[in-house]
Amino acid sequence: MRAAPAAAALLTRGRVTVRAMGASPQGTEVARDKAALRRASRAALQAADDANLARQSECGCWGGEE
Amino acid sequence: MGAYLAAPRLREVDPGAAVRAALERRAPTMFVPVVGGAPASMRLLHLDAEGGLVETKPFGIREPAPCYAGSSTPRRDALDAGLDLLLLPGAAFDAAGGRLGRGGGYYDAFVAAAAAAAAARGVAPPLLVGLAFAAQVCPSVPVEAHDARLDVLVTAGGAAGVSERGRRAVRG
Repeated sequence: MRAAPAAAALLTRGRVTVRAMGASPQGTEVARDKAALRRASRAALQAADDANLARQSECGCWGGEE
Repeated sequence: MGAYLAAPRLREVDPGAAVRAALERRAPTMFVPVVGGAPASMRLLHLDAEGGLVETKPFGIREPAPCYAGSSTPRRDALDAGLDLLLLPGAAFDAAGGRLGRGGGYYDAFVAAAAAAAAARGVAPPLLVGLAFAAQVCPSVPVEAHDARLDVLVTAGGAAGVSERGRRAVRG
């Protein structure tokens, strides 16, 4: 769980490494960057879901009860 | 209009309200993805009703049957009918129209096919509209030559034109 907020921060701060097109003739580095960005995206959305669940639980509206 | 049917497991922005509204009004004509056959092969077939959709593995994405309900008539294919607009999901997006999909290349291949079909008919290709959660928008998405670039990016904050065509469309 600790990894998810860290990955989300990476994504939102744009610190996921993006290399220029053509840096790798085989495209392996671009593919690696894409994979890293997909992982960061999943982690960011997971973190957002976790935060929403926590808020719902705290405000007592979880499960449809207000 | 082409739209995906969101799968909760994939945490995609859900365009379901737009799909349902189109089905109720019977306009615009709605086409949704059906994956299968060759690698990275995705067709968009006419959806006339929400009933009868089947959840497919592994992600639980709902797809229509190849033929209309209670009929042996094949559903219309978007490449034959033509598309004005296509809604795309994604993992990450940027403000220059870059879109990172899930790695299958389905949408990139479909967009290329739709552009070719439109060119053959002498009409514009579909306007490409990405739907994103705020957390999915980042400064720069790595893109390659075969990656489709978006025209419009829609988030909870509104619609932004991210190509010249998209900016014209958003301005109206």
